[in-house]
Amino acid sequence: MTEQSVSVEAAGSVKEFDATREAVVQAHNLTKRFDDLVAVQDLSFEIEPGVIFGLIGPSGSGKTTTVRMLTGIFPPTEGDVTVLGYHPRDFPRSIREKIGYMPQHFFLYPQLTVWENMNFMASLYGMNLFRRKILGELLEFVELNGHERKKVGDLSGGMKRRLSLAATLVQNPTLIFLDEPTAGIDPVLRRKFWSHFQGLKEQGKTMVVTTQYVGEVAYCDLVGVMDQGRMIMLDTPAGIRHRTYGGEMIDIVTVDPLDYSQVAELERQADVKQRLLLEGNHVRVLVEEASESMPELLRWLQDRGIEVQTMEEYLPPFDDVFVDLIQNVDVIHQKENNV
Amino acid sequence: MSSIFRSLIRISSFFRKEVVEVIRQPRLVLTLILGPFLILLLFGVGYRNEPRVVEAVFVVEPNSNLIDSIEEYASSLGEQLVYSGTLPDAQTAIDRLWRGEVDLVVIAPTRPEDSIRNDQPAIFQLYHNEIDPAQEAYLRSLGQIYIDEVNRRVISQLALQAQTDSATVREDIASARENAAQMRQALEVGNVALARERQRDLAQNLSSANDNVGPKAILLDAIERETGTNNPAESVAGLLGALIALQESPAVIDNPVENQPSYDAEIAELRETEEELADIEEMLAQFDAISPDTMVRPFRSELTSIAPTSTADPMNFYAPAVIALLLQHMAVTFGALSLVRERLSGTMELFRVSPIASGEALIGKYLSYLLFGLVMGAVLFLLMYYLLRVPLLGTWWSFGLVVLALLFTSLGLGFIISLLAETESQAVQLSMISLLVAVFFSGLFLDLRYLIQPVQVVSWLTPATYGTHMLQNVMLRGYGVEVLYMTGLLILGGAFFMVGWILLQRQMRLG
Repeated sequence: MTEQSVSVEAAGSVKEFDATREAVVQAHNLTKRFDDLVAVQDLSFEIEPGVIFGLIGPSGSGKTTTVRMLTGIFPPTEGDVTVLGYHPRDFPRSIREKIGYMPQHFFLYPQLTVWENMNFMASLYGMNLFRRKILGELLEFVELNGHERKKVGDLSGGMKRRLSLAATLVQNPTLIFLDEPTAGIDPVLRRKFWSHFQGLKEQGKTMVVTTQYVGEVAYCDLVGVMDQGRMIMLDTPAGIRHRTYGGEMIDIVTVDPLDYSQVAELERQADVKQRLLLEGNHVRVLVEEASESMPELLRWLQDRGIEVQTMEEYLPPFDDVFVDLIQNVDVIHQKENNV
Repeated sequence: MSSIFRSLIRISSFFRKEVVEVIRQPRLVLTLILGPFLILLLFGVGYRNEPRVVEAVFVVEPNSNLIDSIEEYASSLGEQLVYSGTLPDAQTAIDRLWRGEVDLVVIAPTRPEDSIRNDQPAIFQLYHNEIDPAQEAYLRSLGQIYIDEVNRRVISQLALQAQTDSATVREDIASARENAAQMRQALEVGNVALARERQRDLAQNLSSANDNVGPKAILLDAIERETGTNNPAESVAGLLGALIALQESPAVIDNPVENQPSYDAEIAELRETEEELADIEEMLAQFDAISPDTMVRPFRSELTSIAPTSTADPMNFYAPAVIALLLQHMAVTFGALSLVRERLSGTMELFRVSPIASGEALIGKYLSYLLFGLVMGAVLFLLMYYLLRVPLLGTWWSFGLVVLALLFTSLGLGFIISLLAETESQAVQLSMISLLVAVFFSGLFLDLRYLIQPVQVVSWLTPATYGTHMLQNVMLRGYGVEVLYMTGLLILGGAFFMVGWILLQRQMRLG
């Protein structure tokens, strides 16, 4: 796989880790094999501080293995990785204290109350005993205040996930790994979670979030799309959409349907790369930059007396983007290489 | 904040978490404490510290001389043997044994006198249907006791007969003494004719006595030889010798001559004879006072224990071993489940990323389970002490130290199991195996001296072995902490701790 490196700056974030904006995570040709099974192959990327890095891909695509290599749970079979300037296997305590990790599965103790679990996590990170205020704020942050005395075994699934998130944040980590934090929870709560993540980002935290929900890509600053252990694309959400289709799409709805010659002439327009759809009076074209091409196309239509009902950029849902990307990944890469 | 303080906080996280988790499960706590206590209580109430009663049927030919005596012997053997009647043929008796209607079939010898005459013991054939080696050994022992009893009774009959005969001997000796006196008096007045007459009577008396004293004197002589009586004059051998000498002594009775100037020598000799006969009579009286039973079974053992605790109540003996076994099992199970749960629930993943060190996690868990084990041990003991009256002759602190060391070592074993097991059920199975090992090899039911040396290694790798030994001595003998055993237990515990630590370190840092 071609090495990719994309940097995204987080707007308005407070940088705790490194004022010089050195990459928090640097992975180079990471590969992990379990006997004959190649779980992750040739992963290379960098994550700068203060961004939300999304790892997206179907189940078994290697997201969790990647996170485990980044956190030092698994050593890579090949390749090299540094996190906060250290190889994960050699993290000193001071670095471990800066890392928050929320595993994929619920990891807290069902016999303990919400408060006792939070206390356990705080002690695990060696926090001093004057921690009541911090823990209270965290529970408030995940909207679990008032449930402190409830036994965790009695909480709903959504509350457990929120508690997990709060427990992951007890030591005020700089870098947070969240492995499928929104798996198995309802859409409303998922949106709340991402709202929390945005809040954390605003506090200057760097986050690595894995998800199976393709739509959640939109919340990330940088996205790595994984399939069968490979990172098939690494870009911003908009960049992924753009690269998947080779440009941006514009939907044009005219009052009367275009005739054959009008359509053929439209396809020959300089900005138009490809006509994607023609259904009655609805035409969809692919252009390089929708914002730049739309005035040109509107002028062209008006010059020919074609009455336009609506013209707008079409943003295909990320679910579709993801499917198209997976299906056409080789073609896309070939085109990119040719360019 | 200093790193030591942070480390203590991290250790405390596990300590508090484990304690709270256990306390939150009151049924578990109740089961762990009350369960063992109720088991021991049931054992104490239900265990009969007396030999098993065996129901036996005897096979004797209908015309056998033994038929009456067998019933009599069997019925008088005590409560251990219940006489269930006699049958004429062996097959019927074996069928009853097979059906479980009786426990033992005793087939009496057909013609015992023929075997004995041919210098062969007559054999009582015993049949059983036991598969338990201990029960077979018990029946073998019971059979031996029965045969010994039969033999004793036969010899006792002989002794009784001898005693009856010896009454005649005593009469003969008394008559002999009387005739000797009369003979002496006749010689003193010169009445030789009367002296000769009494001399004949005396000879007759001595001959008769010599004939009759035989069997009994032989028995007594054998006893005296075994016991080593030192004074030959007072021995049965001496008595026999004197009697024979008297009978064979012709000096007095062969040559009393009429008109002899003096019979002083004969008279003096007769006085001696009278005295000897009086001695013999006295000895016979003493021997006759010995019952036939004592004569055929002259020795008996009496066992006295210097241990301060009575063995009459078996619960006393088993209670310390049960405490040791249960504390080991509790600690091993808690330890075994503890880390495997962390791994399966995914918490171990979190530990790998967090700043917690394997040693801190392990120490935190050790401390919590030690505390819980101590509380459980104390409650268990108090229940036994006050409700079952199990003694504590040693000191409380000795008891506590042994329990603490036992828990420490058992927890180490449990943590190793936890780190080797891949699933919870595997951890439970391995804990159960360690329990089985402790039941068989810790000395709970089987004294370690019955095991060969290489197998004893397994015993001494089992914490409960040390615990059982030391708790029994602390509780029942009043000993203090035995340094050798305590050192052994702590070395084992230290080794378990190190192995557990290394394994946990590998799992936490190497993935």
